[in-house]
Amino acid sequence: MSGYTAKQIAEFIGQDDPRMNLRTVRYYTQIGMVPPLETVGNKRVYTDKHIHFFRAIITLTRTGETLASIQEILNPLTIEEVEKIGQQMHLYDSIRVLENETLAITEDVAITISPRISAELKQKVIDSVSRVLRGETN
Amino acid sequence: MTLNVRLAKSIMEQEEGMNHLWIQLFIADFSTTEKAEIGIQLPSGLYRASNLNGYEETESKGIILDLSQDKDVLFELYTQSAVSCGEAPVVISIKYLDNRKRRKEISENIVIRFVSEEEMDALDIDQKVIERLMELGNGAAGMPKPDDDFVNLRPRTYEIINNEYAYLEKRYRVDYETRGR
Repeated sequence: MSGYTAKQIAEFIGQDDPRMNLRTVRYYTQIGMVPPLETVGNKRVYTDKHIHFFRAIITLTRTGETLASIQEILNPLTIEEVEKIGQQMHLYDSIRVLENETLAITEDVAITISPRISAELKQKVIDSVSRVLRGETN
Repeated sequence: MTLNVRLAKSIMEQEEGMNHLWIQLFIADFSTTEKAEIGIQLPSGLYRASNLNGYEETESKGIILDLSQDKDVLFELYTQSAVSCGEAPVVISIKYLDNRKRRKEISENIVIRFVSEEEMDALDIDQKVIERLMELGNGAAGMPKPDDDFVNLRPRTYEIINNEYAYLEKRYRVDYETRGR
């Protein structure tokens, strides 16, 4: 298990979102937004589990959730589920949201496409994914 | 009118610390006053962000309240570089017109204790203040604001429908046509 200090966590997570600075990392820990710190030797440290929580909090913050609802959402989840939420953080970068378009192919499948993709290629991607979803191989 | 002033944390870090100040207003029934302005004086080295309720603030950082509906106000307080350890007062004042249109001003003090990071084990959290923080607005409320206002945007989403008319979308969708040229 890797152990991190609050400063290390802030430097690491701050690359994803500069608002998650040392003050905020400490504060979210103190008010119980992330699990209690682990004890390693005689020190209390952050672990990878906390990194997943901070990333999930940033992601849900970007979707407009309150801290109360974020806490309610994350509390019953397994650490794998929390990690999955955090992995979607970059989908909610404001630049990405402004420039990209998300195409809902079905209720269960959506594709996010940047404007760098040409209209023809975009259509091919949509057609290909649609065919796969319909169970067609060619 | 009376003020109830609470801090989220009994102590806060002298350097890179964060705390929240919650001011609740209790207005007597006979009062007819509607507008009020809250001012906050902070000790040197302690700063505050804009109020988390979203109330209007004047150029001199006074917070304008409509007392017919605004019953509290919450602020993020923070330290940056190290301030001296020890106690320092935060002074909260509220100015308003009473029911006889006379100017009134009430002040309340609350003491804030700055400690080193090693002393933070003695921290007590006021859960009522945290509950209010968590209720108020976006999760970003607890995070320092970026230079520009935080904007929530939902991704643009188009639904692709594969039905007998799908070929029409391919043929006539504006972005398909224009970007294809």
